[in-house]
Amino acid sequence: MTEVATPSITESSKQDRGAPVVRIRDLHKSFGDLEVLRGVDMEVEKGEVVVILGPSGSGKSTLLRCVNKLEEPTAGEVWFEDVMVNDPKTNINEVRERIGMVFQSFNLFPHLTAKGNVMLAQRKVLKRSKEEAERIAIEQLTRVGLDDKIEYFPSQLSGGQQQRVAIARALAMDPHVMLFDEVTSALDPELVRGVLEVMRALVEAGMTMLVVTHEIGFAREAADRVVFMDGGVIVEEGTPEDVFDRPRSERTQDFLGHIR
Amino acid sequence: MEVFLEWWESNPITHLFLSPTIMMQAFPVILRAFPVSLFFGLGSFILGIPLGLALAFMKMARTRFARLPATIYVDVIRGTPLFLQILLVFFGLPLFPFWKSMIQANPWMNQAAIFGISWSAYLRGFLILSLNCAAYLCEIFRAGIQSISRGQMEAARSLGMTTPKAMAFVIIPQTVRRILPTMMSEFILLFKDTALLAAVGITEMVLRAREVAAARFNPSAYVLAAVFYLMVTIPLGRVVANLEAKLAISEGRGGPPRPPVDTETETTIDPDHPAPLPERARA
Ligand SMILES: Nc1ncnc2c1ncn2[C@@H]1O[C@H](COP(=O)(O)OP(=O)(O)OP(=O)(O)O)[C@@H](O)[C@H]1O
Ligand SMILES: [Mg+2]
Repeated sequence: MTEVATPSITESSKQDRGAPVVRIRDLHKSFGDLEVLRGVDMEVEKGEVVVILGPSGSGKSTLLRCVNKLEEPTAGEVWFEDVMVNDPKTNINEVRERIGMVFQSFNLFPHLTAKGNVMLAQRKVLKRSKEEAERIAIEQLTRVGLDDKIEYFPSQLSGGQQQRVAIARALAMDPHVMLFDEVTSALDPELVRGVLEVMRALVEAGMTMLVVTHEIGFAREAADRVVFMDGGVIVEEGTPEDVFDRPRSERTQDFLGHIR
Repeated sequence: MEVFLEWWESNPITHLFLSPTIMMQAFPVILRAFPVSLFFGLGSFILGIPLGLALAFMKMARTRFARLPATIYVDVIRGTPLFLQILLVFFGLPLFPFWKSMIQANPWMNQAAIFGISWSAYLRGFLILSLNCAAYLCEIFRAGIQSISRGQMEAARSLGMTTPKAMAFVIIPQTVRRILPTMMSEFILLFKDTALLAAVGITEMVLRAREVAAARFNPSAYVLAAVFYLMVTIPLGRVVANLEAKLAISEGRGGPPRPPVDTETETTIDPDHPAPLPERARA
């Protein structure tokens, strides 16, 4: 993980957690006339957990999707380790192998079992042998608490179980960072806990994570840093205590008042 | 028994349409033509699949240069009668210089081959039927692929799969499952449409039935030919209905988990996964 020389702004704030994994510089993204991101700067260090908060339409999903180029930035730079993600010369598939993404709507492959879902990209992208892919699939499905559902199809699983399969599917690729986009928003309340437990275990294991969520409880205990976005820019960021207990911006106070 | 048979043959309705003597006579004739109809139907359908897939991808392409010719092709084929297309190809193609020189160089092409049909007739028959079928399949494929949610492609790409890999392992397997009933309906239509080849002298079932009917001045042979068509279309139609019902049931999510279906490979298709019914290409 060699680093391109860029001034690090977080040297003092973290006790040597490692090099930045994701760096975003002056990121702009427009859909036609609609400017969704208007200059976002962000850095996520190795092992860091960053939670992004903000009202609907503030550009949280768009920001996350720019990290693995599911959306193409209009201007600015997105770096993953030592490669510029939005450089047209970059092989985006190699970058995406190392960036795990979990979606609000699970997006499991319905024609494959839980195990098949976790195996597919291991086989077709990482070219792992069938035996190895299978072993890792079982290992990851066990890790998310689904060792008894390995041969089940997505349609036979609850939403919470499906989402945990999706997490296992991403983890099997040995990602260097995980992106979570409101992964519990589509779940019935009683199913949210299981997914959050898996995410907490990931935090414990030192995974680098960029998490969009409305789960304030999770943000409080798991986040190293909370970022509040509104209108396509970062309005405020800091430790969970800073942002939740002493919000400086009026917009943050407003938003927190609404979701509490 | 004798009396019954006599009555049967003297009654105008049963005699005209269900005469056992004529049917017995026509049976071996139509039976021999049955493989011809099936051959043209099945062969053209199989040839039409890659063609239709290529057209579907052209129609979904980003550049207009790919979209436009495919759109025009599909519109023209689907907007004109197949009968007319058959006449055009059978009588039009032989007038082209390249066709004439091809036949001159290969005189055997005009000689009778399997089932007494010439190679040049086979060539033209398969050509027009598969070209026609491809246009309908194109729309079935396109609608099927586009019915798979965007999230499927995004999930596959976010795992590092290239677009072709995502197509091959994620999108197409789901599409196939979804469009299988519609494709089979399309085959039934094509199989019945092979009867139009009678007009250009291809000795399939209807032409053979007509020969018997004309010779005996009795249409019972047509009824027998109809039975032959039904032997294929009714069972296939049942399969289509069953597949559709299965898809409709599996559309419902949740509920108690059903016992898992065993699979060894990633490409195995689960008979129980939820999928909306495909758009019908032709009513
Ligand atoms: N593909 C697209 N085409 C056009 N507009 C889009 C597209 N994707 C997002 N937008 C618009 O961009 C804005 C920001 O969307 P985004 O999904 O990033 O917001 P969000 O902060 O994730 O909101 P939410 O909390 O509702 O998920 C919205 O106004 C949305 O309508
Ligand atoms: Mg969003």
